[in-house]
Amino acid sequence: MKETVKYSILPQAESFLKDYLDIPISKIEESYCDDEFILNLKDYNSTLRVDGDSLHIVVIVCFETPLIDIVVKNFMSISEIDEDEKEELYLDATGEVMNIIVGLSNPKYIKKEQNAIMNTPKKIIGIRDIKIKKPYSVLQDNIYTEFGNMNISIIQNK
Amino acid sequence: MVALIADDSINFRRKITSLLHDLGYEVLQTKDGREAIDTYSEKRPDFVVMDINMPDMDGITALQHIIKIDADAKVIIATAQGLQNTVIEAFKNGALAYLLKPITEEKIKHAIETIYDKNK
Repeated sequence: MKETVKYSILPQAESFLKDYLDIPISKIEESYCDDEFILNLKDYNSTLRVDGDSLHIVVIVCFETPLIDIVVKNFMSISEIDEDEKEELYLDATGEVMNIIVGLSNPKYIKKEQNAIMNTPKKIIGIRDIKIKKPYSVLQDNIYTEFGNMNISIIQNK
Repeated sequence: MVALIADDSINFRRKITSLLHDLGYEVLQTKDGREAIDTYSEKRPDFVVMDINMPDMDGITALQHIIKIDADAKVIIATAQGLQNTVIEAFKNGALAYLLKPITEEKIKHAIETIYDKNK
């Protein structure tokens, strides 16, 4: 796992939660695996690819419902969400949060000459886990808050 | 004054709509580049806030079409991508200002001031 990727995306995720959304973080657990890895998804999940010359990473963000609920409320500065809109807003926010985190991290690890493209986030629906095998490695931050948990995983060819 | 928003994220559209309403603007919302082009042609808003990274038709392509329709169109590019190449591409194609997500009222006010300063 290239350290520059690790130290760009994961701190950006923490900063976005704390500084922009005003959600205090109570604990962060980091894990790394370069062998077979089962990524357990949560209630709302999205993935995004960044591709460039000699650069291919996949990022997956997973949220528990109570946390994505407060993310949406704080993002839009609202106190309530209509029941019939929750599903759409939660799914959309999962992708948009990742879009912002990865997008803001890009200049820190992508060189201009790599001609990198950040793809649009894709919602992950209908599956509970993803099996990741060699030669890919996974670096994951599990972020705990008083509202619930999220994790962000960076998957990269070793 | 009327602003046209093009962004595939409903959360972003609502957030920026709320900020623009607070600043006294009317807002037209579209969720992709094609809708933005159609709405621009029909309504001729005063300025556009266009996301770059959208499915179906991206913001740069939509920006090119809008500039063909109206060479004086005032377009602010809104994106989370801090990539230098992306920003340069947007300005080469006629964008007048750049809005880095996540947005705040200060950022949108500054971007609007920039597009009107450039047209003086």
